[in-house]
Amino acid sequence: MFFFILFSVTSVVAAFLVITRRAPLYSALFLAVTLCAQAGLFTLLGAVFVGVIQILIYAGAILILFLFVIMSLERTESRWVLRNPVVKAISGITVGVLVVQMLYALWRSDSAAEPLILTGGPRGEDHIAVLGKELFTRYLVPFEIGSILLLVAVLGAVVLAYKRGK
Amino acid sequence: MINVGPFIAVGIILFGVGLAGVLFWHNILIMLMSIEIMLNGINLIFVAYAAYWQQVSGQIFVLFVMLVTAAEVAIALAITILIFRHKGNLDLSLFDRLRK
Repeated sequence: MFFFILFSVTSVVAAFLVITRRAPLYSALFLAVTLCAQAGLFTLLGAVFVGVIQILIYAGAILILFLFVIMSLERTESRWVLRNPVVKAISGITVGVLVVQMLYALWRSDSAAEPLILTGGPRGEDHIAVLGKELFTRYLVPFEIGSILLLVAVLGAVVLAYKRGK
Repeated sequence: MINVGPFIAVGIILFGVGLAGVLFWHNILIMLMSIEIMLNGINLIFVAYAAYWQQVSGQIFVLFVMLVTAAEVAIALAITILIFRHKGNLDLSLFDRLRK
């Protein structure tokens, strides 16, 4: 319950901040926050794989694409952020907490134990195995069409943004 | 069995926030990000119902939504660059005709 409130409040507040910032750069950064919080909500619902993919694809790839375009088009004053000691302190504390947390998890975990199989997904089976089986049997054709769609989209983006007559 | 009602409520709120962002702004980048928020609200509802019905299809639909979103963002950002080259501005209200 605590995690549900944490993730849902974070995602809604960050989404609200996305649409109220004037500079798109800050909107994109708050978008990263709301996407990560939603990955947490997915995990709470038992969709572990979707949560991981959410962070990798959305908060990783798509957001980087947004940031590239924003930084190449907009002139946002972001230099003060790097010089601000408060920002530096917050960054340092965040990195420290993250590293300590990961080391603590490693220390607490029993590396000689049996590999953990994620259960509690749909029908109580191994969640990711069920997802993969469905994806590659029942939804195989949409999956392949999707890969072609991505290829066409990438080619289309290159053709559109290519500078002609140079 | 988890209660999925609150999750669906959060999804609806996120969809509303994204829709408000699309309607209130003329900046194409913020509009695109608002569309991302709307799609994420829908994804959350998909996953919540997948958990409710104990079915995996909802999660597969989320994967397909993410796939289409990646394609959409690639094309949309290319068009954004074109609009910026054409008008020198990201305000869509200035972009009212396709020819020069």
